[in-house]
Amino acid sequence: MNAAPVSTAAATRTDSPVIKGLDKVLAASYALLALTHEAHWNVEGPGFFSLHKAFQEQYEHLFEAIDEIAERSRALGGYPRGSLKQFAAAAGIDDFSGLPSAKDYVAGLIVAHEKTAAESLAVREAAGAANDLETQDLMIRRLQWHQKTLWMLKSYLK
Amino acid sequence: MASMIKPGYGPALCPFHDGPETLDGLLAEIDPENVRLIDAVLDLRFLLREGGDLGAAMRQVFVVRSLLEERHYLAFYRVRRWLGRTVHIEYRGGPGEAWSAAALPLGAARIEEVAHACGAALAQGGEYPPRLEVRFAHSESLQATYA
Repeated sequence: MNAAPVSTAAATRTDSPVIKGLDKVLAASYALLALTHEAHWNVEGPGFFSLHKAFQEQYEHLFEAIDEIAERSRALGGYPRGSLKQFAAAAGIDDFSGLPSAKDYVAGLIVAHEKTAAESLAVREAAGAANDLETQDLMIRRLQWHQKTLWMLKSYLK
Repeated sequence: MASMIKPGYGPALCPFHDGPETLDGLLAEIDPENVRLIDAVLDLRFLLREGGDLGAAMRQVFVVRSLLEERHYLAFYRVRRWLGRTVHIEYRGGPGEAWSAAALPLGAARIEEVAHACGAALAQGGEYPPRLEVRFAHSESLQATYA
């Protein structure tokens, strides 16, 4: 009997494209969480109640997702770093400038979601190449959520 | 300033929507029959690509913003973010004084608003500087970071 391919075999090194990519997704997701939390606190104006509530739902979702991403890295043999300094350096996501308007908060979060989705897409592809279907599934779920959130945020700006 | 504004490409930045391509994205959204707006964005694109007079380019940014009002908000936000990374303001109370630097205020609606904010920063509750000078400059240190 031929042995089934071990799905995580190509991704069990800490320098594998999958684990390095997960580190980037983790950093981008954490930066996005922080920005979303900031927007939740400081957004003002006519859309306050709906945006305040939506941002809370989003950062709560991100908090759970971050744990899942980091634990997937650990399952593959990685050691995800967790300091804010490291996340900020690796995320490549700009801070908000000053005290933005409600629309600028939404636009800034759209850009941050796009960056995080781009990192997730890269890991989805790397996981597929490594036949790591579990990580690929995780990234597909992350992409679905980012795409849905982007639709909602972009709808607000129209 | 002779150099054009360089795109802030780099591995740490979002691969999408940065540099002069943000203006192409904005142009792609505009109704081709809105000739006045198309021309204004093309003028801005020319000024930023050709370099030479950064002040004129920044004045054109506010012309475009005024014409856009609230339309194409996200596309123009990407332009503002790019400029915020690559351009900053320098100001002083008069000739011979040292220049101070500040970030480009992304939320400003008119170029006069930018100048008045610089004057207010110098006045700090005292006398508004009668010979206020404001100029725009490339953020070379930022560019070096992203190069």
